[in-house]
Amino acid sequence: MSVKIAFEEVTQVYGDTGKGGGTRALEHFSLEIAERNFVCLLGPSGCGKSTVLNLAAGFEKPSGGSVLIDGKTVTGPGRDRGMVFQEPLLLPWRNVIENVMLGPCLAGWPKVEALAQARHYLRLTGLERFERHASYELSGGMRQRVALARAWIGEPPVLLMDEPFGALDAQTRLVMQELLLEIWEQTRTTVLFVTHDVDEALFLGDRVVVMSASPGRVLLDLAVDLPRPRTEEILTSPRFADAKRRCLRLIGEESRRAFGHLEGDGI
Amino acid sequence: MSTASVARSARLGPLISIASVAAFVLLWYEAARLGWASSLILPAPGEVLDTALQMLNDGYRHVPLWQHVAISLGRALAAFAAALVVGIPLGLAMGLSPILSSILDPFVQFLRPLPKLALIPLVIVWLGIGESSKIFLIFVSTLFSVIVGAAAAAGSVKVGRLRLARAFGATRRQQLWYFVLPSALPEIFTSVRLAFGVGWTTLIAAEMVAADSGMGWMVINASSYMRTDIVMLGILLLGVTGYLLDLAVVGLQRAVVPWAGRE
Amino acid sequence: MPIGKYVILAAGALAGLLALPPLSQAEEVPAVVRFGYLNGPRPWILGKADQSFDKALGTKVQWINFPNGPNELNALAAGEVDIGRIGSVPTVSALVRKVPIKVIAVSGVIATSERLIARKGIDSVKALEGHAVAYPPGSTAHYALLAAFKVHQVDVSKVRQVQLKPGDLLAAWKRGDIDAAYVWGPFSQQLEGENGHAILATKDLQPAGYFLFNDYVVRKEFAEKYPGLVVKFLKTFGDTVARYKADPDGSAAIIAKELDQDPAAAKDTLAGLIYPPLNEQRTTAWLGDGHDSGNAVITKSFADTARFLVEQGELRAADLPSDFAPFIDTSFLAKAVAAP
Repeated sequence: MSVKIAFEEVTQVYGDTGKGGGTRALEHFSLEIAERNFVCLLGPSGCGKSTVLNLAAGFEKPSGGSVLIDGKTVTGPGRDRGMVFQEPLLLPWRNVIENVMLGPCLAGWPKVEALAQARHYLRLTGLERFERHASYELSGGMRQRVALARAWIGEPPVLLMDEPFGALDAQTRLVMQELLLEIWEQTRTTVLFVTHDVDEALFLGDRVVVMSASPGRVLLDLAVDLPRPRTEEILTSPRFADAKRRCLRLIGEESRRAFGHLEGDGI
Repeated sequence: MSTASVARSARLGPLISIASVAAFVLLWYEAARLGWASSLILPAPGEVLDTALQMLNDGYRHVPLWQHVAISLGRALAAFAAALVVGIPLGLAMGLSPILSSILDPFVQFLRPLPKLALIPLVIVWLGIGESSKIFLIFVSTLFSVIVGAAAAAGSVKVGRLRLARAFGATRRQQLWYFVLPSALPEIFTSVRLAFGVGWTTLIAAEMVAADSGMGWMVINASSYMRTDIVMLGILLLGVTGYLLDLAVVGLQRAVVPWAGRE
Repeated sequence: MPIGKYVILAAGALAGLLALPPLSQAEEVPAVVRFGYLNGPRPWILGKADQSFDKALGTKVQWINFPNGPNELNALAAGEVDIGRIGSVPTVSALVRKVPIKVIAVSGVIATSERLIARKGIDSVKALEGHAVAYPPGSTAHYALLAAFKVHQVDVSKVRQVQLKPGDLLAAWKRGDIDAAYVWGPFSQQLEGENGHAILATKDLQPAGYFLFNDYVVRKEFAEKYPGLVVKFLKTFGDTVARYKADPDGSAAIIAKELDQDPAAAKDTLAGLIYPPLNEQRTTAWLGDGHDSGNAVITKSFADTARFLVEQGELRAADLPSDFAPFIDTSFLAKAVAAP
């Protein structure tokens, strides 16, 4: 399988960069994501995982190193990458189906095609009965479904998701995770999914990349060998518990190794 | 407060308002009846009502009462329309372009708090004593509040929404029409509502310029003859008309931007 | 050092007060007496310039300026003015609306101090048909204009009547928005300086029975509490008129300076009023003596003005008093004339 997204020795510094000043969000961050892979980026808040996503999206330019998609340097945002944010960011002046059709509208698709495609994704996300509803009348979970359909409708080869279920309650989150996997099984888009929840990362990803903070870099890169298609049952299976235990243990070891010398310095 | 009690007080709200107004009128009535103040200083509600009824029949100074209301309303609405047509695009442009904002901001900030009464002599020299000078006075007092409001609204579009626009590859023009303008609408409505309030208070100043009709003129003219009953009636009419105007804007806001405050 | 200076001043003032012979009774004196005045040049402004009212009343006089009579009227109603000079038309509004004031003297009869100024080419009142005429609403000039229309049988529907404050007249005139205006000095002279000419003066309306004047009014409560001060006020006012008559040019210069106006215009306005001597004002030709005031010219003029304002829709017929005599109090005038 070919590499879809590549981060090569990426450094990202915010604020005054002169004389080594500023906040170093990422340092020599390297990561390759294969096509049709579902990669979860796991880490505590402030570890720079959102920066990684924003670089891939093209919202930010790296201070050093390069970010490549299909081998080409990312210069800005583009329709080849779908985005789902932590907030649904629905446009309240558009109803549900109009929100889903936002991308096609901006890209100038023929209306009939856009409508048919929007209906398809509304069906996939279980929203076919809410087509004409005002977006602000929906529950949080339903709003995020609309956002999912909106990101997927253009069938971008890459989907970038920034803690999309972080604000949802546990029950809704699980339903959304299953829904996401269900759609992903059908499309096999390359997904970069940012989360701080170990369960979520293991449940969704083919790979879990654990990051450490200040400066952000890769602490651990784990392959998740749970079979697909995955459903709710897997969460309570011994295999899942095993994988989680192994993951947490590795994170612990890596953390101690990474920070141990700091403790030795008396901090 | 629990949601149930919030809902209950929301239902009771209008009733409480009506009761409070009724209590005020009763107090006014009693104050006049017991002679707390002479009828010159505080005309009794009955006296104001008599004046109102008599004017409904005969008008005030040969102009029917409804015409006074209509003329003032016409002047205000013409001025408001002009202020919106000029102020919203200008304000949005200022909100989106820091350079334009730097050019125009000193003038806007200078003119906005200026007492519009001070402009009357100039306005007469520029525009004369016809309708245009009256409308202009209301226009200027409304305009700057609209500009400031629209500029703030344009600048207040959430970063997330702009990222969304860029993620979908929206062009600059698309960003403006699909994201910035609709995002700014609720705040524009709020500032327009405030601006109309400011403009409405200028009505009396505007109708000091060579008017012979209108509610503001009615108040000024009646005060020349100590007709406090007419002054009171004029004030009531101004207040009620202003209130209805505000309700109309709120209604329009609900219809046009039903999502305001509900996101 | 400054404190010492004030102590000496205060001591001196106190000594001066003690040295004064007691005038009539020992009447209490308020800390300040508030005079309401308008911008028109009048002899009593001499007393503002040299503070002779302060001296005569033995207290501080606060001069409160009003841009027009109706504004002063509102202040009188609020009890913010103790003694005021005001036009006969606002006076009538005040009396009809039961503002608690008394009319104590005539200040001056409007003869040529208020006039109808028109552009070149408009030579009669009748010729105003088809033109715009401005006036300060609620004023003696407003009343005179409407009276002039009646006397000269002008078709009012053909005249565009424009209400403007005197201060706004000139701008409208220069723009050509108005063709004529009925107004007093210094505004009348300003319009005349801009190619205007007088086609009528208020005194021309007297033969038809329109009598317009300025008068002095006093707040009822003030008059009851400080009758002695009211007498002293009238006496001092009489003195200022005498001084003006003795030296019109010099007085006009002082008055113009005090009001910050053009001396020539002030002189013209001052000469455009007739000042009835105080000792003549208690006859029926003016205010009457209190018993025959019902037949006095001023009383009748009040009644005429009131009826006219009712006709115009400004006042309510139901508010009209049967007689204006009770509002006129000449007892102060009598004492002022009798005083040495």
